[in-house]
Amino acid sequence: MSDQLDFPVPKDPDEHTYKGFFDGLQKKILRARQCCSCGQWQWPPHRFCSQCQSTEFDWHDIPHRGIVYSYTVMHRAFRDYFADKLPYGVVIVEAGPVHISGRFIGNPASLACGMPVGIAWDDLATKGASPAWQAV
Amino acid sequence: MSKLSAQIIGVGQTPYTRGTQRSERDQILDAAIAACYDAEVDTQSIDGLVMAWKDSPSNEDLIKTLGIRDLRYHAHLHIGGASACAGIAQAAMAVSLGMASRVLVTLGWNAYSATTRLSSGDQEDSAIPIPGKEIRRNIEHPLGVYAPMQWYSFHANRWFYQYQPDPAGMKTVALTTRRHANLNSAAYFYDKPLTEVDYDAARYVVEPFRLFDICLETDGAAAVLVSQGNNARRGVQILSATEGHADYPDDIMGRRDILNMGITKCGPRALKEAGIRHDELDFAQIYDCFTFIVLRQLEELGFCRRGEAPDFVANGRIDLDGDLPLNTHGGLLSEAHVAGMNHIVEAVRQLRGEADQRQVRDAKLGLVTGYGDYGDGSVVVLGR
Ligand SMILES: [Zn+2]
Repeated sequence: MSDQLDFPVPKDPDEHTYKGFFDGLQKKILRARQCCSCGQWQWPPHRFCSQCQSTEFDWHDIPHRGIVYSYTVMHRAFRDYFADKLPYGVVIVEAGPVHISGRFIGNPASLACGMPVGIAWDDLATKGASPAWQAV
Repeated sequence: MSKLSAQIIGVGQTPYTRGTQRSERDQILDAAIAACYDAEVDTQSIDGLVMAWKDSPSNEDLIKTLGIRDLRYHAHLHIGGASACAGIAQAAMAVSLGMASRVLVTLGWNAYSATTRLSSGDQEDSAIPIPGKEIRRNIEHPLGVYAPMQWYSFHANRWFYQYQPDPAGMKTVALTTRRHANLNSAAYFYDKPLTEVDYDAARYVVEPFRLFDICLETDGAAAVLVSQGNNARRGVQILSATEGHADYPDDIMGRRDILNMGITKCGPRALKEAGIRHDELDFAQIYDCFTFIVLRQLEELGFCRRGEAPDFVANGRIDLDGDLPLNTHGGLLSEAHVAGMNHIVEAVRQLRGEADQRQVRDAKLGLVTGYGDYGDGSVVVLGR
């Protein structure tokens, strides 16, 4: 993935602690890391398990549905790409064992904590840029 | 109880401006000199340095500038806006143990004139030291999330959902601290009043924050001189100094309990170690990068329960003549953004009775907080 694209992309998606996640998005799978020795889930990635300091992790699927833990609605574009998309919602979703963030597809005025959402496989998601969520 | 035997004997600051010809390094050196002059001590007698948040000026720069003869101790802290109070803790510890006798704590930044502003989306290659860069670059930036006001909006929105606090509390903080700044000639907003109409009319920048819920970006520096003992003529005693860190310290979006932060841990500890009750405090200078985080810190410090801070600050309680005058200088919201070092300077002035029009009557005991990065916390309790 290159910086020349006109949409925001992760800087280092092939770094091994992140690769399984971004590869997964392109296959429409949502994954997070789980420690091989103690079973603790880890998101976002870090080389060490905070519970047992192991560096061995497996990628495991996480649910494609969850509830909004919190959200933001931006009225300022912090990057040009978002300027014609305001107001713009971003959510933190409680999806099984982890909190995972993503763009919100839908009217940001409808956003509320506790609201059920499901993953939305839009273009940016399947290109491996970032996940998106929508109301279900 | 705290075993500290330390006092603040001098404070200094530069003018607080938007726009400056002076480098960040020179601003900090100027503030350091001013703190020594204020304490009426020979600059060459400084033997300890704590550089809070910023690494320039270095200890070498300070040795050469002040003519320090024998630097016996120095430390750097990198916990954003929590670095100021945490720096006081380092200095107090060093002098209490006899590692050094006079320790300068410095902090400053040209937040307005910097090439990258923290309120902007230019964080990708920012020189501002922020932890967890991989998370920023891989997860947050692709979502359009770059700035602290965005990180903390997640915290605020969860708080509003979970505890149903009155949103008017944020306005109370903004208007009250602006009135305090209007009594402080050093404040950037000294001659700029803020009315309820102005506040309500301001646009949302990031929900739930309107423009006046978000702190200033200014250029300037401040410094504090800490010495052993408790006997200086204008000395202000350091009764306790604590530090605390959030779980998931470099990330808010993955944090399981977003409301749990450094102050949750180090806030109650600071009061306990100082051996004081909340109602004994004559004022509080609470780190105010955003209005809501002032309310949240009051809750975590134990002044009230979660969700109740808007009621706590209502009815004039945080006015200069209220039960707990708060951010009597105007804070980051209305005085200047000196990353909380200005809060410590103000606390010292209040305790010395040198706060002019904004003096809290008979102020003897005050609390200062720091708040940095993804929820690092620090607290200092000062008394005379
Ligand atoms: Zn483990």
